[in-house]
Formats: sequence, structure tokens, C-alpha cells
Amino acid sequence: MAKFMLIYRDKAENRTPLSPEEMQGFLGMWDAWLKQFGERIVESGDELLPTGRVLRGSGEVANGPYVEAKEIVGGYSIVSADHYEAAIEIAKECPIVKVGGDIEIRELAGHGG
Amino acid sequence: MAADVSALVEHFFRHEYGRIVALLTKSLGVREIDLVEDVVQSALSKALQTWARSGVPNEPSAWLYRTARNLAVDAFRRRQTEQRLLQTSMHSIGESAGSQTAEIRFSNEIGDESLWLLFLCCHPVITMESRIAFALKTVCGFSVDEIASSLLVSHASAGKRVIRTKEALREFGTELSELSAAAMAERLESVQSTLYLMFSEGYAASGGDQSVRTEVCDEAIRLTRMLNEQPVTATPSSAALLALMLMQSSRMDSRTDASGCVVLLAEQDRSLWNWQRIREAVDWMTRAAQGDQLSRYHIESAIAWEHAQADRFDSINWLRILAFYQRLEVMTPGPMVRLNLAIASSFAHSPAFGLRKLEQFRDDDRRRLRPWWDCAIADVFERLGRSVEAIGHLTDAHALALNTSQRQLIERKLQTLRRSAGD
Repeated sequence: MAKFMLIYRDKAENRTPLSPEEMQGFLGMWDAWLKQFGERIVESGDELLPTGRVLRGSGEVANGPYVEAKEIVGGYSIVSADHYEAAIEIAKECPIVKVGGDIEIRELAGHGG
Repeated sequence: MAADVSALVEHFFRHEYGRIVALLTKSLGVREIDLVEDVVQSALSKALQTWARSGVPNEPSAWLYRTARNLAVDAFRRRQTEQRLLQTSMHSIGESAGSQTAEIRFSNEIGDESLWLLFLCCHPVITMESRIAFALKTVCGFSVDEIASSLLVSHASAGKRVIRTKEALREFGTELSELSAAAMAERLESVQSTLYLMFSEGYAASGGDQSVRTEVCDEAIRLTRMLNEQPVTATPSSAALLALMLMQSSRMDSRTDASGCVVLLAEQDRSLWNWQRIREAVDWMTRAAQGDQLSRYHIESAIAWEHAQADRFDSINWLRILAFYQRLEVMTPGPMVRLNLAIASSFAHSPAFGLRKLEQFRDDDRRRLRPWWDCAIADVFERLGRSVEAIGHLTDAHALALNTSQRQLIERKLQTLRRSAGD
């Protein structure tokens, strides 16, 4: 089975903070997602803080995370699946898409062993 | 170590928000309420991220308080390096680090910090509407959007009400140390009316998202329960207020039919009433009867109980209800009470008697009671067999309806009246 990285992309604009009630709802959805797919979620991953630096090949360092098309990477998880279609099935149930975020799905090459 | 997320009680985040905002506001002072709200919101987001992945810690409330407190300390440090000020605030927040001392000191006064914020916003310069919005935001942890949809106002005006309250509190607000038990007892009546209005706002079956509105009622009941748990505020009138809310909320599910239309009391399916709540309400009425206090809530809950006791609409004891409304009119005179009195007398005595009472209303009172007065007089005319007048008044009422569900209800009534008039 291959591993896939789910990369969570937030739209930087129009993000209203969740209300406490919505947060609890989101927490429940997340928990349900982890339970639904069990061991197929290899690593539930982490959130990325909105701070960051970008080191360019030129040696130049820019402040802030890498932002493209007003989206920044907000977190990630790693799942195991036979193929992209199966990984997409897992991602479709992820709470991130249910609250309107995008998920980029990338297969790990497996060089890390 | 970590517990399951599903182990969190319902509305845990919402209620923790209110509790911790109150605790930190108490330490830092009401002037810092914006900062406090920010750090509590951040602490909850942190919890969301952490708990989703590694489970809920053993003492989630303590975890949240600690996190919010640390964020507040960080914010103060940052500000302090900028200003080299606020030493005293740092001290006070340091002292309440374990929160134990603060809680113990507080429990002598009123016991629940959320209640303290409620007493704070019940200041005479703050309007009732603003108090409710502020209480929902700060004490109950609703977002501005949730307040807007539960009170059926725009996002902008819900937000404005909260901001206005905070501004007034910054200017006129009392700090906890200054709010003595005596001052609290003095404000109790105004806290009770705020809670009752909050309940009524949620209870009014007038569109919007019904589930959010039910939560407003639940929050009002929760806060009123708190009032009844504290020595200073557990008065007979607080018990009567809780009885009244429980009694009314027992009918919540039978007030609308499957399609969301309003069902009148006379047509409600009484088996749908929440009898467990009614029994609890009766217990609170018994408690309210201990003491020599008689409040409007005593009488109003007694009226609600009269309605609940009858197994059908026909067997309601209208004479007793009429007597209660007469006492209520002495206690809290106003057009709405007089309208209810007229309706009760039309059942207790005769429709003709009720009609005379209704016709005595002055024009400005009729206007203020739109469309209730028009509906009431139409009903009396209908019972007198004078369907032409009934249809006339209902047509007025239809034009004056405050919302769609009211309009639908009047429309249905008009249709049946026209049909029978045509026969």
C-alpha cells in the first residue's frame, strides 16, 4: 500500500473564526474521520502555524509562509491507500473539505523507507 | 491519559468560553474584556487542533484555562515591553494562576463567575437588547452570527449591541471587588427581567433557525438555574422564574407542526408536552411558595400551570386564570396584560363580555398590540357568530403580521372563516 500526504490549504481571505459551538462540532467531525478510517490514517499530522520563512535558492530569505493564489498550507495528514482514488475517498470525508477548505493529495515516493 | 472527544459534554466549548472569559475578566478587569475574549478564542482553537489529534486531556477545563491564561500573560508581556506598564495587572493574574484563590473568594459572593458578568451588564445605562446580546456573546459563548440568527437581527446590529455594552462597561462598569452582595441583591430584579426577555426572544415562534432559538431558551434556563444555586440570588422570585421558563419550554415541540407552522394552544397535542419539565416546574413552584415574596413570575407560572393541568382546551379553568391576570394587572400594569385579561374573561364569562373589554382599548394601545389585539377581537366575533366582523379584523391582522409563520396562521384562519361564511 502506498502512502499519500493530504495537504490542507486554507483560503487566507474571508476566514471568519469559528464560534465555540462550531469548534466543538469540528472536533467531533475530526474524531469521527479518524475513527472511520482507523489505521489507514498513518499519521494524523499537525497544524502549521501561520508564521514562516521562505529560503530561496538564491540564498535570499523572505518572511512569512509561502502563499500562492491567496492560499496557505495550514496542516497535513498522511494516509495509506492503494491508489489515488482510494486516497481521495478518505480525503472526501475529511472535515477540512466539509468546512470549505481544499486538500491537495500527493503520493509519497517511498524513498524514506 | 487522553479521553475520547465524544466524552465532551454538549456545548462544552460554548460554556467553557463563558466561564473562562468571566474568570479572566475578573482578574484583569472589565477594561480588558476584548483581550480576554481574544485569548479565550485562541485557547479554544488550540484545543481544537491538539485534541483532534491526540485526544482530550484529563481535565479539559483546566487545560483550557491554563492555555488562555498563558496567552493573556504573553499578551501582557508584549504590551509591557512596549509600555513598561501594567505591573499590577500582571500581579493579579499571577495570583489567580491556580484559579483556586479567585474561585474561593468569588464563591463567597456569588459562586459562579458567569453570573457575575451577567450582573455586571445589567447596568441601568445599558439597554435590555444590548444586555441580551452581550450575555449571549460573553456569558454563553455565542458568536455574533449565532446571536444575529437567534434574535432575528442583522449581523451588524447584533455586533453593535455587544460593542455598545462593552463601551458602557468600560465607562461605567463596576469591578468585581466593588460588586457587593448587597449591590447584587439590588440588581437581581433587573437580571431576572433580562433572563426572562432572553428566554422570550428564543421562545417566540417567529421564524429563523429554530434550533438556535431553542438554544437561547436553554441558555436562559441554565443561567436561571445558576441564580437558584447561589445564596444571594436564590430567592422565591428566582425559583418562580425558573418554574415559568420550564413550564413554557415544555410546550416547545408542540407549538409548530411538521411543516413549521404555528399551532395554537387550543389545538396543541398535549401528549407532546414535556411532562418531565412540567413536573420539575411544579417542584420549583413549591420552592417559590416558601417565603413571603410574590412576584409576577409566581403568577405567570401559576397561569402556565393552570393551562397544563387541563387535559383539553375545553376544561381549562378560566375563572382561576382570570383571577391570576387580575392580580398580574395590579402588579405589572400594561396593555399586554390587559389584553390577556380580556381574552380570559371572554372564556370565563362570555364572548360578549370579552368583546366589551376589548373595545375599551384605546387606539394607541391597539396599535402597540398589533396584531394581537386584532386577532383576539376577531376570535371573539367568531365565537359570537359575527363572521363578517371577524373576517374584517383578521384581514387587518393579516396585513399587520410580524412574520411569515404568523401570516400563515392568520391566512388559514381566514380561509376557514370565509368557507363557513359562504355556506
